[in-house]
Amino acid sequence: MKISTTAYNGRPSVPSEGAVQIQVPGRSARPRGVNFANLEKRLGGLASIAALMGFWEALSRLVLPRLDPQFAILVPPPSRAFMSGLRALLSGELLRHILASSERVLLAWSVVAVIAIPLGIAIGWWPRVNRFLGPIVEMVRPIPPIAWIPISILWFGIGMTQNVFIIMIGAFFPILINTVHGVRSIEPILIRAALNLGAPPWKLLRKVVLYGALPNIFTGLRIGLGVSWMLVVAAELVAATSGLGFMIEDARNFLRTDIIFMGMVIIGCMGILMERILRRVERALLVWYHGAQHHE
Amino acid sequence: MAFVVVSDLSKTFISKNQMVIAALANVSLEMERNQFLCIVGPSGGGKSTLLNIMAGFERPSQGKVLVGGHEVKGPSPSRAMVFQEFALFPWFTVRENVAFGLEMQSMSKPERDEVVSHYLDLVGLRRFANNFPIELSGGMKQRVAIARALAVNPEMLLMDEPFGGLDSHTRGFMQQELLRIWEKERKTVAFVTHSIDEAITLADTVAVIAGRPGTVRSFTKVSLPRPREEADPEFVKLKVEVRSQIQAASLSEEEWETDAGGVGRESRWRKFRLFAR
Repeated sequence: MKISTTAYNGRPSVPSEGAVQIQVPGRSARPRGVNFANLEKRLGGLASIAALMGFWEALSRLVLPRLDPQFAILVPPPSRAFMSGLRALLSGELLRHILASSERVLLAWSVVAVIAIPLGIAIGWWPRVNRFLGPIVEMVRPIPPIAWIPISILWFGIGMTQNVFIIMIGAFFPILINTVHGVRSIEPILIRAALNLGAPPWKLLRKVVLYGALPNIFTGLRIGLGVSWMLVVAAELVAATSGLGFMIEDARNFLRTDIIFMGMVIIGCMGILMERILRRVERALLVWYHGAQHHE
Repeated sequence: MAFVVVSDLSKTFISKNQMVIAALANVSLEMERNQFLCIVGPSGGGKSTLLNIMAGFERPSQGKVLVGGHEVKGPSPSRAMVFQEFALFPWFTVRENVAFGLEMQSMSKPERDEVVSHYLDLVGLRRFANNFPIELSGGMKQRVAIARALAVNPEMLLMDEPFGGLDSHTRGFMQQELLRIWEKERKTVAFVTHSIDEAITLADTVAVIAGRPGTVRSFTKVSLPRPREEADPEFVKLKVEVRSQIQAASLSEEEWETDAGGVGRESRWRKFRLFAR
């Protein structure tokens, strides 16, 4: 945990003793007018993507069909993927799959958070719990979550329960490990200060240890969510009848490469979206850690 | 009997490389109620160890500390500590930090608010009640820490180089602030510092702790009226006196170090351990 009195990510610190006002940087702190350097930065990124798309479009419409018609099917032009995406969106089909996947992810991830955070605090705080549970964690953790797919299909069959199980396995360890790390990285002097002020064990845990671990817990939650999103696709590829993973696997059977590519892009976008939302929540909750600053 | 009695206190540690290190040896001192004691000496002399034992964070290897007739057995709000590193809870606002100790005592919220406001006024930080520590300067943070310590109404205040991390300008300001607060809320204060000037500016009595292991070398009474002026001939005289006591201690310590050849022996020992591994 950094406690810094110097300017912190652009936020001015209080310069000295006495009458000073805390400046809250708002929109007005930004330079006025068109910022060309900034504009170039943003458009530069867009331009390279546009160039790639244009190249790809030309390749699959003009070059590949002349070489071998099969190639043209395997590498569909982006415009066709986009159009089929639009069609799927309008028919409601796409939304159904997105919701199915999101539901699994959010359910598994939140259940895991409720289990892994208290457990992580216990392991990080009481050496005895660590000695007892540590070996189990270290034994199970190296097994890739995907390796649980065969046995989980036998246990739970195909569908929601199995998918959720796989996600839970995957999201569990990042959240647990980061929570443990968070508890252990609390500055000992804060524990001393709390004890000195008469904190009983339970309040110490809730008011100091939990808060102190919070930045790391959020890191764990973020990593866990990312892992969850990867695993929902993996689980749906083999054991589902809905969801984005199922959608692209199903499209493979019909050689609908346009749907496959469209699905892949949407899976990526959804991952980014979830990460962004969680980051916002974190910024709002951890003002004391990040300092009050506007979002980039 | 005096309010605080430290009798025949010794403390030894086992270091990481399995060496026994004596931090304090046979320290005895007494403090009257509402006395301001400064403990001064070179760093590594065991001053902070003494304060940590008085706070109850560490157990002595020998001897004991009595406060108000009771032996110190663990940390307690009756002996509130102010740390050099401030040790504010970064996730709480200034107000919540000051209220922390009261909340631990399950004081009701309206009562708590009243006490907190009183101490925020006392340290002049009412306007910053809802700011987080990250938004404050070093001197302001330490004033919050002092308010937090006073809010639990302790019998005594333990201060471990509280102004050591501040620039000299802020430091002088904070010393005057502390005296102003102390005049208003009389407490028994044990204040550790390595600055002789600071000790003489603040204290009723200056205790020199020096050497390895640290022992009490002298007590010097300071009866100059406050506020004290560093250019005052009396002040200078006391300063020379305290400094000569510390120097005498560190001279004998140098002898001790060359006699034992401590550094050389340790590295040879380490080499041996590496080889053995």
